[in-house]
Amino acid sequence: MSKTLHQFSVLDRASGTDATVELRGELTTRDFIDVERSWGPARLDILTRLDAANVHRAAWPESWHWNWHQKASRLSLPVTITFAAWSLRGPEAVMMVKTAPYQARLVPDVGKHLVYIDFIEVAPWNWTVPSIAQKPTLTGLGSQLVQVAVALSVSEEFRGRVGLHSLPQSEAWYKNRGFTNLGPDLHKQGLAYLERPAAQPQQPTSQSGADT
Amino acid sequence: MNTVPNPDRRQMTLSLTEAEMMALEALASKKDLSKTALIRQALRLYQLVDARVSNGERLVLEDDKLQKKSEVMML
Repeated sequence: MSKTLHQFSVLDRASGTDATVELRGELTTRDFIDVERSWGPARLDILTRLDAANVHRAAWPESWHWNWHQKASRLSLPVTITFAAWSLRGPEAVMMVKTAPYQARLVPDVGKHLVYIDFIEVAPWNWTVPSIAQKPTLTGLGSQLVQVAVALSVSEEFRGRVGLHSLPQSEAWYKNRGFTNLGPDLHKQGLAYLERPAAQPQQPTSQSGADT
Repeated sequence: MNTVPNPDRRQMTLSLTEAEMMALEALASKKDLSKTALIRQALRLYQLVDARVSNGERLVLEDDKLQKKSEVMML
């Protein structure tokens, strides 16, 4: 059973008011089944609309094929830590991080430990998909989860260092949140590696509304 | 409530030789960690490697520049 750690507010675009969501940790396989049960139909609905609009597959949201139930197999690794933002509707965003064996690549902290974001995704109804005019229901979830990764990094004595490999569509989003793009990593299918340095004050978030 | 998990911690006394303590202090300084955090990270790495080696995988170190590979034997 996952644990409720904290509550935070994000913007509900429909009502223009703040919505309260729970931050949950220590997710179980059952939680990931619930994520997939909740997100699967919504994901398929978006894919159907993209197909009907003749949007080229290369322009689809890049995480369209993810399956969180399959990713739950990583829960057995001792270094895997999971978080989710949960509303009354269900899971709104999920993040899986690792506390080892990743190390910083950014000067001057090369070789020091960091929290590595293995996977992070918001629910399909929170995706921004301009080609079918879809706007997110809740915004700010991705930023909040990244801040959780930073807080975990501080609590682990990694001084806020966080690293990740980004899908191409999200690179600019991370850059707007204080990450430095260190370029493609040939050991990770050429995905860009980005890193947030130590002891960096919180960066202003973009006003575009795009929040993955 | 906490922003991140705050699991209960148990304490132990560790007995190390002078050389081991020096190695621990040097690594902790290099990695910018306390000695406790350094040992925690070392344990995680050991767990990670042991789980994968126990699963039939090999631990191999590779130097791209020298094009050299060597296997670390986990006996």
